[in-house]
This record gives sequence, structure tokens and C-alpha cells, in this order.
Amino acid sequence: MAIVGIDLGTTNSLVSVWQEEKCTLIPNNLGEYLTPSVVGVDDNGEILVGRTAKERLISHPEYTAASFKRFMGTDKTFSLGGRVFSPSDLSSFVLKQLKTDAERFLGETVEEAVISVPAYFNDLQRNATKIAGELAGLRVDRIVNEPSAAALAYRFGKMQEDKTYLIFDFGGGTLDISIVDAFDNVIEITSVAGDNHLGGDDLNRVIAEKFLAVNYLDISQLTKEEWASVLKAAEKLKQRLSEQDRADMEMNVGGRLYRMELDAKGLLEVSSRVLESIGVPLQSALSDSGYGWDEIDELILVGGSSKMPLIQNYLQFLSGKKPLCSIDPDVAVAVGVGMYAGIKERMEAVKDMMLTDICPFTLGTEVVQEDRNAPEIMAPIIERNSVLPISRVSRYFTANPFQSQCTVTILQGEHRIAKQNLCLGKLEVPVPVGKSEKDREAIDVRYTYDINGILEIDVTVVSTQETFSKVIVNKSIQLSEEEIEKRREELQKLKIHPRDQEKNRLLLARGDRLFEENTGEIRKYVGKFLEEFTAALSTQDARTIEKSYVRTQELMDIIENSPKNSVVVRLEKYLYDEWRKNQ
Amino acid sequence: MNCYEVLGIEETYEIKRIKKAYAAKSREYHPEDHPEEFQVLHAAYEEALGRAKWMKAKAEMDAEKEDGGAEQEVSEVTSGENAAEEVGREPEPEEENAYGQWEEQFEQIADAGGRNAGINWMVRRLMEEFHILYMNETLRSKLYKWRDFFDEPFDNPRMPEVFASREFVEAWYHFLGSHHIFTTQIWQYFASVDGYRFNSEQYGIPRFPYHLYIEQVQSMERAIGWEREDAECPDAGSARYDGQSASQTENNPPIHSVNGWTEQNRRRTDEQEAGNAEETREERNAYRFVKKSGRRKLPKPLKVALYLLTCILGTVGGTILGLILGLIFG
Repeated sequence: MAIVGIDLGTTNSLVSVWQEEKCTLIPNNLGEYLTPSVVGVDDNGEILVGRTAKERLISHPEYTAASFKRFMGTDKTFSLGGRVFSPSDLSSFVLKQLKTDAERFLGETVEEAVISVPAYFNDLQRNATKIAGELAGLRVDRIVNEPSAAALAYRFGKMQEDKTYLIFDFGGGTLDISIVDAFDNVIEITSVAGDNHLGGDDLNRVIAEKFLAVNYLDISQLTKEEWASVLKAAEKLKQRLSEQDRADMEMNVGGRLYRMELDAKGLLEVSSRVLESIGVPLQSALSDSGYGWDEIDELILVGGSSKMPLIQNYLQFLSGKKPLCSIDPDVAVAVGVGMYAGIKERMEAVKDMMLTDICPFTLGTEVVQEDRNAPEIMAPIIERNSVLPISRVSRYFTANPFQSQCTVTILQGEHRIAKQNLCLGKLEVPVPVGKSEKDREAIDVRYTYDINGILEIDVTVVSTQETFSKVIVNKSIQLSEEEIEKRREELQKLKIHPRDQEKNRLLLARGDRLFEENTGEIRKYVGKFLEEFTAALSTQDARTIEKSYVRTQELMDIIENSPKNSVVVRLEKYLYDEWRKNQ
Repeated sequence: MNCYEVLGIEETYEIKRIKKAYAAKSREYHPEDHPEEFQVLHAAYEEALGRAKWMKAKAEMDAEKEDGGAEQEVSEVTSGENAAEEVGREPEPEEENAYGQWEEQFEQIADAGGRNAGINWMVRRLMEEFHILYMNETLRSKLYKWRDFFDEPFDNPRMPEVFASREFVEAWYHFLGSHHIFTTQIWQYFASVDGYRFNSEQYGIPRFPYHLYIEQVQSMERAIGWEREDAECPDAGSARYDGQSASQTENNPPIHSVNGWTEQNRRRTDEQEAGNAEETREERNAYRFVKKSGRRKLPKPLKVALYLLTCILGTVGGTILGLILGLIFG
């Protein structure tokens, strides 16, 4: 019984396993390592996961959900085709899919997994991830931080070296920067910083906006679908610019064809705003850790968007170091998680390998200022980036004469003004009333943040030594064992689409998208190809289906990958050649 | 027990040894099994590391001081040689860097990124200055003091950018929310600055309800009477300034289009603004009216009453004077 490692990402998820002294990535049944973290419901009410669902994002936005990782541990729900799902439910579909892929690949059942989460995830978010695992029928004993996993992947085989890494994780929609100190058996996160809403998607957006600007188009002229297609085309342009110096994009808007050519310099110009925003979290991670650029030994790139030469060059410019990407940035975390799963499986003293966790934000309490009209301010107790477990105590005094009660407000955040921070809870503490106007009572407030990321507050009244405690839990998401079991059974009733026909469905979804993206003659052709392919499917003859599949895919590749004005000519040539062959 | 005793080593400033000792001890006191001991261990580790780093930094600084002195002397003597060396060294990094041709742009971007962080700092400084001015009761009712902040010329050319930033709008509204003892004049000036120097709608923040405060202060000032007026109005300079700021308001386009807004957003905010425009213009007009007329006119009924009062007083006074004079001179 193998233990698998799972990188459950915002845009893509991966699964890996430790085999024969190395970490192996497990492909899904489309032969790809990356499974998009997208879940959809199809017309029959069946659940779709991965590429097929992603293709339907544009055509069926009401029936498809993406980026749900952002909402892990919150009350937000997603409504797909009349059913309501929590972020944990949706993640469980992805996990289940990965589990099935792993079982098919290994030929044995998989019951346990190690899952990676961002270092800044709090207890609620970690717990929601565990619940997702349980809903998918996986036991999740261990949650690993993504930067620790990436560091582990790069450290494999050279454990003796002391190194300080800066891990630059630039994904589709998030940027996480962590500084990790690795020596002997210890991998310690020194600081984390990031921008929750900065990623490759922003680059797509600025390219798309540039495209509109150079063609004198306005976003209000575009339908929602057209804008989505422009974004998709912009993404493609971006990817091609990683390989070549010059690339162009073409789009059909309102029956007219528009074009834009972009070279590396142009890309730099449009994306300068995005690059500017990278500097801020980078600086804050460095200053929090107390390291300068010259004390960072290696710069590790993680996440699909950091594959761009532009980003790599900019980082090299900032740091004066060549960034490391000898492990594909897309899979580095998955490789590390797989290694960790391997360590755990061998039972070879998992505890020997020490990956520490940190508290990613400052925790404090609310206090009044000398000037009572001024707003209440935040008094920090546990500073951000403290290594867990941690316990800190601070003493506070009552503010008013004859005060009989203190309210300890538990705050999380970095702002000086209390109201600007997140309130996690309140604790009312009765205190003995003073005898004279000058008497003040003291209370000791202790915050304990344990290794599981659970925050406990103990307030001791100094004069009476009476203690009041509170553990911060969010009841609405905290599920009991039975509730999880019940929910699992509910979800099991949902039919997950049979995976054997996956690639055919994917092709159909892709065809639907192409039909929407194009107009005129090309659209007619797409309709015709789809009709022929559906006809082939209904024969239920494996050979006919396979033959038609290959042909339809080739035709769609032509439509998608050749310049717009030559699509029809190329299609006609393909069909002519085919006809000649059959003669 | 000092930190070195916890780590089980003698006092050392060697980072490598501290880390080794910590790694070895952490096996013994794993955070999962011994959370409390681990905390003590980690605290000791951090302290030892902090000391070592401090010593290292100090040693470097000392070395730098010595080096700096020595180098300077040398460079004075052999400056010609140095220059030659530099020329020889220069092309090297360019070959190494793939980003050679982009270096300049990268520098600009990095600079702008740094400056963005700088905005926060400038906004905070500005707010501190506002607060200090507000705390001074005589100066806070002087309009020119506030105009010094918002009107050109600025000491710092980046001020317009700072005012247009989201950070400033948030901080400014927060400031106004808790500081509202201003005269009508100043309120009206603030209302005219909002929308001209910055645009809150652009960040999805609703405009500050200046008109409510203006109404309130106006009714209060009316109740107190005209004594206040004398204190404020002999502001000879203000008339000159007025012409300037009024024409600026008209000629300059709204700040968001200057700021490199995308067309799409602008259109949207323009639409939203259409509703607000009426109100803003009214406020601006009111402001200009007050400025240009300089001295505020008294309401008509009051004037009539005052006139009558003078007449009556005059008659009564005259009669009394007559009587007294009559009495004296018999």
C-alpha cells in the first residue's frame, strides 16, 4: 500500500509516488502530469474533473468551478448546476481523480496521502484540506508546506550542505515567496510573504488589454465569451514568447480580424506593472528573514509562470544569481511531496526530517490609546514568521477606574488600527473591581499557537490567579467524524463520469469551444467535424472511434494553431489529401 | 541557563556550529513530542544566531572602516591604473547577463516597485503632518495652511501621485472621519480637492459626505453669528490664489485620465460620476462664490433689523443727549 504525495494547486494539481529510490510523477489518463483543478457538472448531472472541465469554463461558466483553493476554509459555497458544493467538496473531487489515476498507475489501492499547502495556510485552511482528503477516501496524516517541499526536492542527495533558499512560487493567480533555511535534517521556513492576487493571469490580462488598445477596441464592445477568448489567445502568445523572440495573436471580434505582434521588448513593456508588484513581497520576505541578497545561496523557481524568461531575467537582475529551475517549476512541489511521502512510507524516522511550520501573520489584541477618542490599536503578541509551536505572554491593565470586565479581542493582521485587522474572537474576562479610582487590575494574556496551527488563548487575572481559556475554532466548517462520513456518502452518490471515455469527451468539449470562438466558414467546418465524430462515437466500435478521434484532433490542431487567414486553405488541403488517399 | 547551554555548546559566534547543535538537539526534542522543550530550544537557537549575526555585522563594519580608509589612500595615488582596470572589467558582466539589453528597463521597474512601497511611507508622513496641524487650534482654521498641502507648487514632485493613490484616499477619509472641526471654507476646499487631486470612486470607495459637514458647520456658524467672520476674512492673499485654483479646476482634466487609466475603466467611472457631478459642481461653485466675494454678506432681514436698531438707538441717544445737555446748561 503506497503513500502518494499530492500537490493540490490553485490552477493545477499533481500526484507523485516514491518508487525505486526516486520520485515518480503519475500521469492522468490523458497522459499528462498536470490535472487542472477545475470541477464541472455536465448536462446529465455527472461530475467532470480536469481538462474536460477546464475546456467548459468558457462555454458553461455556470456549471464549472475553478480556483476554489482560494476559498478553502471559508463559508463560501459554489453552486454548479443546481447543486451546492463547499471548496472542500470540490477539492475532494480533484483528489479522488488523482487517487484513481495513482491506483491505475500502481495497480494497488491507495489509502494515504501527504498533501502540500501554502505556508501561509492557517489551521482552518489546513483542516479543510484534510477534510477534502477524507471525503476522497484518503487518510491525510501529514500536511507539508509547499516551499518546504520544493526545498526538499532540490536538496535530495546533498543533505550535508547548508543552504539558504529563496523560493519564488509564481503560479496562475498567486505569488508566494518564502525564505527557507536548510541544514542537516532541518528545513526551516524563515519568512513568507506574497500577493494573493498576482500571477500569470495578470500577465494574460495586460497582454489582452494591450491587444485591445493597439486595435482601438473597447472592452464594452466584446461579449463575455469574446473577452475570454482574447485572454486565452494572450496566454498562448505569452507561452510562445518563452520559446521565440517574436510572436503574434489573432482574434475574430464582431466578424473582423484583429492582429497584434509582440516581441520580447514589447512584452517587457506591457508587463512592467506586474513586475513592479513583484518587488514588494520580495522585499518584505527578505527584510523579515533578516537576510540580504548575498546571504541567499539559491533561488528556486516554482510555479508555471516562473518559467517565463522575462521573469527569470528580472529575478536574476534583482538577485545577481542565476535562478534554479533544474526541476520543472510546474512539478517541483509535487516531487518534494512525493519524496516526503517516501520518507513516511519507509517509516524511516519521518521525524528525523524536521520541516518546521511558521505562523504567517501577527496575532495580537486590541488596546485603547491614551487619547480615548482615538481608535483602538493592535498590540502584537505573536509576531509573524514565528516558528511553531510558540507561546507568548503579555501583560495588560484595565483602562478605566472601577472596571469590572475586560474584553480580550483576538486579532490577526498587520495593521496598527485594530479595526483594520481580522477579529478571530472575543473573550470576556471579569476582573475584581478596584477600591479607589486609581486602582488598576492586571491581566496576563497568553497566546499559544501549536504545531497544528491551533490558537489557544489563556487569560490570567493577576490578583486572583483565575484563568480563562478559549480555543479558536470555526464551527461552521469544522466537521465531526460522522458528518464527514455522511458527506462522503452523499458525494459518492454523485456519478463521476466514466474515465474510459475521457479523451473523447475532452475532444467534444474542445470542439464546442472552437465552435464558439470562431465564425463563418471555420465554424461550419468545426460543426461538421463534430457531427462526424459524434457519428463515429455512436457506432461504439473501438477502431472506428480511435480513427475518427485522431483525425478530428488533427483537424482541430490545424484550426487552433495556424494563422486565421490560412485556416480554411489548410483544412481544405488536409481534406483533399485524405480524399486522395482513399481513392 | 543561557542559550549556549541549552544548545549544549560553548559560547561561539560560528553560525555553522550553532546550526549543527540545533539540528542535533531538535532530533531529541521534536516539536511534535516535546512542544515545550522545543520552544525553549528554538528560542535559544534564535538568540545564539542573532548574536552571531550581530558579531559578523560588527566585524564587517570594522573591516569596512579600515578598508575604506586604506582604499581611499590607494586610489588617490593610482587613480589612473584603477580607471584602466575598470574599463577592462566592464564588458564582462554584460556578456554574462542574458538581460544585458534590458538592464535599463529592469532598473526602472525595480525603482518604481521600490517607490510604490514608498507611497505608503509618504502617506503616513502626510497624515502625521495633518494631525499636528489639526492639533494646533489657531492654525487649523487657516485655509492657507491646508492649501499649502494640496496646491502647487509642491516641494516633492511626486505629491500628485501620492494624492492619487489608494493609500492616500483611505488614510484621508479615515482622518476626516475622526477630525471634523473645520470652518465651512475649509470643508468646501476639501470638497473641491476631492475629485480633483484624487478620485475615490476609482478604488470603489464611496465619496466622503462633505456636504453633510458643510451644512452642519454652516448652520453652526450662522448660530454663532458673525464674530467668526472677522477672524477669517482678512485673508488678502486668498483672492489671488482663488483665481488660480479655480482655473486649474476647470482646465485640468480629472486626475484619473492623467494617471494612465485604461479606457474601459474611465468610461465606467465617468458614468458613475455623472450622478455625482451635479453635487460636486455645486460644492465647487459654492466654494468659488465664497472665495470671490471675500466677505460674506449678512442676510437681509438681519440688515434691516440692524438698520432699525441704529435708527432707534440714534433717536433715543439723541434725546438723552439733548436732555443731559439741557440739564447741564440749564
